[in-house]
Formats: sequence, structure tokens, C-alpha cells
Amino acid sequence: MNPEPFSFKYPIADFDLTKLPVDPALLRENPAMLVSAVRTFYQDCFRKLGGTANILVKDGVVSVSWLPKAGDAAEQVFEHAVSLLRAGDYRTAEPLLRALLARDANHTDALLNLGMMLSDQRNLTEAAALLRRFVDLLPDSSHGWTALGVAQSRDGDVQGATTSLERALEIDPQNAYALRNLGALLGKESPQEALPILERAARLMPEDQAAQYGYAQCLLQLGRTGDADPVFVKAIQLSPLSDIAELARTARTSIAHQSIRSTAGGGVRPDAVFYCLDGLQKFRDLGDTKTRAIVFEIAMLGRSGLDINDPAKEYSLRSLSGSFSGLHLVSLMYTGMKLIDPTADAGIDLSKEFAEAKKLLEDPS
Amino acid sequence: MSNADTQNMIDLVERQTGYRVTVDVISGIHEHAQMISARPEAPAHIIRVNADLRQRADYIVAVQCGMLLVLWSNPKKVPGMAFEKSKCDFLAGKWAKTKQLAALPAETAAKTASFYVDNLVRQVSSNPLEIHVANLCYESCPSLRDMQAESFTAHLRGISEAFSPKIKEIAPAEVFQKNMAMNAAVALNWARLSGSRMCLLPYESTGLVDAGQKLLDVIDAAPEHTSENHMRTVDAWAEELLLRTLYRWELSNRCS
Repeated sequence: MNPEPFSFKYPIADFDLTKLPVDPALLRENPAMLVSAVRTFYQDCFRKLGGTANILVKDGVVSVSWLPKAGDAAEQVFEHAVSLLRAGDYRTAEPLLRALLARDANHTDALLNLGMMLSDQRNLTEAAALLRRFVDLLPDSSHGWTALGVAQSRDGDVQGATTSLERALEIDPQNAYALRNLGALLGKESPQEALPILERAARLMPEDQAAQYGYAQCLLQLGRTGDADPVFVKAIQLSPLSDIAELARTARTSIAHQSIRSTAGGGVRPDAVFYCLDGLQKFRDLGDTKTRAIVFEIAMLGRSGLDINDPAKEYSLRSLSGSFSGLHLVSLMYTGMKLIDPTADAGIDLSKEFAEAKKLLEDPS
Repeated sequence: MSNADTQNMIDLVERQTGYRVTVDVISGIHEHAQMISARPEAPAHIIRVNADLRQRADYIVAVQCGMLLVLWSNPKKVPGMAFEKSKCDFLAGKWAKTKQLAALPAETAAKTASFYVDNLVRQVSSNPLEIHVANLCYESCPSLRDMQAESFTAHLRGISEAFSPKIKEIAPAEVFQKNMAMNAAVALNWARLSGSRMCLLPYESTGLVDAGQKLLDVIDAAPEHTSENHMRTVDAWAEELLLRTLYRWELSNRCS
């Protein structure tokens, strides 16, 4: 059987110029260049699939027809669209998914993927409509109910989202995305109720940063700081520059402050006093330039997270020989910063320990 | 970093330069990232990624590391470009008298001409490095190719704004030609890597592809990722674009 072509048409005015490598204003001013851009866009798009693509731009309408070498054209177009979505290329994927739906309004895979894509782009009304149609067609799809729940949650429909996510979990109790999202919804009002759900999500998705952060945050809300901290560390490591990592770092800083004071029973930590004293002696001998270099290097190292609660864990510096615990480095940094500029914010409060160390240095008796 | 290719680039930089790489995000900057390279009194390279571009952070960090790998191939001789002020002022004075700028008030014309000179000198240094590093990342970081495509698409879209008639009207023809020849070289290199010629459409329609190809040929003839080669390439581009007298190289020893 000869393969059938896959064809679709749309007005050129609907073509999204904003993500091409050419200035949209320049294309709008130059109709011939615009036609070339549209043609090149689809030639590039279908070149990866092989077969023959015909792209015609006439009277303001773009007509695309693609004939595969073999097999079902719609199926191959769908697979290509999914690979584009995975690569984050929504712009190229969207017209393909819409074309599939124009040919078959009940193409469930296209409904689900376009719905999720629009949800990610915060086009929530259309996303929810497509995903609702999907679950009407496939009411036992746990993924479909999860995607609908996420779109509803993003749209502020807490009740609808909770119902959809609970339905997803009735169908598949191991659906980790449903667990993560339901846990996040419940956690706002009732962390105790959310905790076992988020714990399961984190266990099922050890590489998912949002799942780890959600679980850690819930533990923190419940006052379990010792349990929360390593989960925050894991969340940061999964994607260190994300917004979530930044939130996790802030949470860890707050835990570290609590930890320093609680370990000392609210008083002075003798180990930190000793480390500050070590700093005062070292920096006196090393001078201002070297002190700045050491403080700078510790501050930079601290961006990746220094563990101040584990004395067995050791770090090394380029600017100062030896190996140091996390608390030792933080104390050296605090001391150095205060020597350079007493008003500087070191990000951690070791003022009592620093004052005690200065007293010891001035009056060792 | 969570991406193995990016982490590998960071590890290479740390091994080659002897300094740790610290990565951070920063808000309110226009460029993709800021990089402060290490020196003995500040012993770490700091890469600050534009917070708005977090999604492409892995690629942006890999690019910054690529620049460090090229420029720090010999940490005892890290090149920096210094402007030859009198030569730059002379050229700016000449351009201030062109018909495009002469119509402006004298002070504005002088400032605009100086701005053009400064930017072209910076561009002649940065574009060859950009191309070298794009090729290095394409080869060394296959998992970042989608991010690289997104990044180049946005970059090329931005630089193609210079084809706008408004910009062409106010820039002296010589400035426009030099700027566009270098942009065309960047676009040609990306067209080759990506396999799509779409980014070349504006350059093809204005006949600037040949000028860009001539510059790209210089890079293709000497593809080594070393600071010495970088300086030779910049000098060759500058000779071609008649900009060679406007700067000098200064080498610094970054080892403690």
C-alpha cells in the first residue's frame, strides 16, 4: 500500500516568528524573506523524517504536505512531535499536534501532549479543555487525570485539581507525579496529611528535584530539620542553578542558623570559638591580601554547600594549606570578613564565638 | 552541575587552570552570563548565569568554561585586549564626519563614533572566540545541543536586528559592513553546525555571506583551542577588517 501524505494548511499570519533565528520585524518588512523562512522552517522540520515535503506559500496561506518513504504518516508525525516536545521545541511541535487533531479530533495522544504542552505554557483554559476531552475518551488513564489535575492546580482550581489527582491515584496508586502534585496541594493546609504522600513521591522519583524539595519542605514545616536537611542537599545537587535549588539553599541556611544555636544550647560553641581564634592568629600572620583571598575562596566554596554539622567531612583550599571541617571554614570566613570589614554580613551569626576568641587572643590567661 | 557534559567542562577548567569554578545565578544583567576569572588574590573563577536564562544554564556554563579553556591554555600568559586610545580616537573622529553621523550634534556624533569603534574592537575579539567555543561545545557536549540551538537561535535573531533600516541609516557604511561581516561568520558557522541555512537569509539577501565566509575560513584553517591561536585568529580578522592598529595584547600571569 502506498503511504498517504500528511497535509495541513494555515494562514501565514499565524506562523510564529518569535523563535526563528531572524528578527521578526525584518521578516514582516520583507515578504520574500518571510516566505523563504517559512519554507526553510518546514524543510528543516521534515528533513529529519526523510520522505518528501512540499511547502507552498500562496495568497497568505501556508500549505504543507509530507509524504513518508513508508509507513503511517500521522504516526511518524506524532512521534516526531513528541521528540520535539522532549527537546523543549514547543514551537515546532505545536502545529504538528494541531494538524493531527484537525485530521482526527479524538487523536488521544495528540490531545494529551498538546494539553500538557499548553499547560506548561500557562495557556490553562485550552489545556484543561483538551485534557478533559482526553479523560472523557480514556477515563481510566491515570496520566490523563494527573495532567488535568496539574492544569487545574495551575489555574487555581484546588478542588478540581484535588479530585482529578485523587482519581489518578485510584487508578494507579504508584503514580509518582500524581502523588507529588497532590502532596503539594495538601501540604499548604495540612503538612501532616501530605507527608506520607510526598515521601512516597520522593522515593518513587529519586531524580526529581521538585519531589525531593516538596518532601524536604514538608519535613521542615513539621519541625523535622535533621531529616529535612539531607533531602534539601539532594534537591540542590539534582539541578544546582534552578529556582528550586535556590529555595533549598535558603532553607538550609535557616536550618544551619538554628543548628549552630541549638547545638550550643543558645550559648557559645566552643569549637567555633577555637576556629575563630585559629583564624585570628592565621590572618594576623598572613596579612590583608591573603586574608581576602582565603575569605573569598571559602565564600565561593560555600556556594556548593558546606556541611557544618559533620566534623568528619573535610575540605581543602587553594589559598591555605591543610584540611578543614565545614564549621572550621565557616568560622575562618566569619573571622576574616569581620577583620576586613566589621559591618559585613557573613550570612551566619558567629558573633558570640568571634568576641570570645578575640578576648582569648588579647588575654590568653 | 547536574549535566555530565557541563560538569566535565568545569572539571577540565579546574584541572587546566588550577582554580575552582564557582557557578551562581544573577538577576538584572543583559548578557547571558558574567565571568570573573581567577587571580591569586581571588582564587576562583566565578560564572554568574543570567537568572532569566536558568533553563539554559548548563549550556551557558559550558560556554564560559570553553572560553576559559581557550584563554587559559597557558595560565602564565592569559591574553587580554587593551585599546590603543589614540588610534581609536582617530578612527572615531573620521567616522564622526561621515554623512550618517555628521547630521547629528557634534558631541553626539563623536560619542556615537567612539561607541562604534569600541564595539567593533570588542567584537573582533569576541566573535572568533565565540565560534571556537561553539565548535568546542558542539563536539564535547552532545547532550547540550538542544540548548545550544536555542541559545544560537536567540542570539542570531538579536544580531539580525541590525538589518533594520533605522540602524542602517544611522551607522556609517564601513561600520555596518565590518559588523555584519563578523555576524555573518557567526551565522555561517551555526548554519554548518545546525544543518539549517535559515539564519543566513538576511546575509544572503544583502550579499554579506562572502565577507563572513572569508573570516570563517581563517578559523577553519587554524581550529586549535589555544590562547595563542585565539590571538592569531583575532589578529587575522582585524587585519582583514582594517582594525588591527586599534588594540594591543597584554598577557597576564594568573598563577600564584
